Amino acid sequence: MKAENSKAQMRKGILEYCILLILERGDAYASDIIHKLKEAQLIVVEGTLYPLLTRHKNAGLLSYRWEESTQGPPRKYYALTADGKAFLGELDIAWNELVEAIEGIKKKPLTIDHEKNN
Amino acid sequence: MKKTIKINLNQQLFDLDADAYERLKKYLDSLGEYLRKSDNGAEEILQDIEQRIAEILTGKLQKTKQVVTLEDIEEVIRLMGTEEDFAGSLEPGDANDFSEPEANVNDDTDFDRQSRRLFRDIENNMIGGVCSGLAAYFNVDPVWIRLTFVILFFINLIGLIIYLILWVVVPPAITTAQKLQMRGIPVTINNIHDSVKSEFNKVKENFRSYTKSESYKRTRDSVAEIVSVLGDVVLTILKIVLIVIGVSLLVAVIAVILVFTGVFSAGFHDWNLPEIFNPDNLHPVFHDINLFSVSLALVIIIPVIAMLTFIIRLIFNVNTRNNILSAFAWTIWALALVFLIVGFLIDPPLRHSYKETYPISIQANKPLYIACDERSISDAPLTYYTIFGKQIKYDKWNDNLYLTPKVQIKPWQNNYAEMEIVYHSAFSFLNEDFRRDLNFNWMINDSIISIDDCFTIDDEDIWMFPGVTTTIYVPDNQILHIDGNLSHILIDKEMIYGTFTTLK
Repeated sequence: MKAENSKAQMRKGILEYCILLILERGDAYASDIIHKLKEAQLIVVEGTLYPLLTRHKNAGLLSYRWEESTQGPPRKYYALTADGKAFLGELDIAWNELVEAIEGIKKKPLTIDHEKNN
Repeated sequence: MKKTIKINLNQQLFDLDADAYERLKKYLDSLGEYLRKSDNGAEEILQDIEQRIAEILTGKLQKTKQVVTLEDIEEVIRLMGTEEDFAGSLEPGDANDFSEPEANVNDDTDFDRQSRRLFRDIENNMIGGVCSGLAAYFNVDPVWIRLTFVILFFINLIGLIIYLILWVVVPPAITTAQKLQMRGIPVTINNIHDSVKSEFNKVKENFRSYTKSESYKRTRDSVAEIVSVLGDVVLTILKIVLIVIGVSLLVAVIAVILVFTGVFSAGFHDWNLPEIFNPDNLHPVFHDINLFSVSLALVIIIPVIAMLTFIIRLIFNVNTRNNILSAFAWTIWALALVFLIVGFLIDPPLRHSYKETYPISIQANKPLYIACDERSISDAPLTYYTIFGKQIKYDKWNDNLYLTPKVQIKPWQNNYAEMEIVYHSAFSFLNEDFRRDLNFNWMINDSIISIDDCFTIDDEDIWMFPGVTTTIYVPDNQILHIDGNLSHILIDKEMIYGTFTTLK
């Protein structure tokens, strides 16, 4: 198995968390989100963002409004709803737990696990 | 110089090179098809994607570059990602999915499942890959399909005909996409129901998005949208109607072929299955190939094949036309037709005949009796057929075909009498064997002539359209007695019966 695949899976797993985090800092339209995700190297192809946004919108986590733009047609601005904020809060907890768990695994000596198992 | 196509992407106008347009259209279509399968809000996602593509393209165009090229579109597709990229991202949190993206390409359970189409499987072929292709289409073992074709071939030629048509009409699966399509989602009643439903949903979605106030505001060309919504509905209905018509036509044509070949192979008999195992009962074409039967067969079979081809193209959505082949087939058809017409209209030159003459002894002042032996009268029930104006009787009990000879009486200058029998047939070289096969009997006994009112032939010879004409030449002033029962085989219906003397 290539490390590349595992890395892609990890990025995929936290992608929706990241989208919600970006929107927590302020409403944004799709291209803004894409730019931020690209900076963070979390996304490879842009198209994959749209199904996620639509699904979260349909689930009531996101809402959107049309805003006039100086550079062209109106843009779709996404915002977190109250449900979305609650959902993000749960993901925050889960993320912290994950970080702790991994840190824990990294720090603890291997022998303790061994003894427990025996 | 290149042709450009104007498109409206997210309410913005773009000029695309023709190849760029094709590429973009294909990309959006396949993406749409993929998203509709797995996502509820497919139309909305597509709209967002179109919007982003419009944005990227706007960034690429400048004063000096006003047309979107194929390279631009390729870059857009690279940025946005293809179906394969989407396949991985649509199931967030699916931690079990660690399979490599490449492995998914051949695993047709995941994505790239398109509805199944009929192809010839040229990798697992015996002859043209028709049977294995059909087997893939119906998801059965090719052996069964092959067996069916072999049996159909031996019953009558129908198996061969269908095979040849399919060979010509159905394209081979060459590319990977075609091979996948060959084994794609099976076409079942459920599928048809699903596709109709999804088509309907699409229409509904279109309609809903149209009535939404935001989109309504943004939509200037609302009339065009209504037309396209209505068009979708009409197209869906039309598609279903066409499929129903096509299937019933196909069934009808196959039934007609069965009847025709049944008549051919059984030669007017009731066709019953066990006889096919008797080699003597194989198709008469095998016994008796002559120019006439070949042209007759061609005149009938070529239009039937053309019709079948058309129907198959309609049902299986196959788009292959072989213009050279069809032109060739129709030329052959025209030639065969001309040959047949000439054969029937200008009868004598093309009819082959075999002539025999017999002397009749006559005595002055003694009448010559001409009578008819009514052989055809039997207890057996007779079935009557009329083929090209010739009446044929079939005696079911004795398994005999009866034809009617023709008799004419002609006075002549000579002072002796003579009977001339002409055996003739279309497009076949006559010899004494054939004459014997015709089984025509007559009798000259002193001054009494008796002629059978019918003759029998073998089943196969019916396609030679055999005939017998008997001419009795009698001197002038001969006393004749013509029996009344001769009436129905005499050519000259005005002939009087009884005793009279021939006059000049």
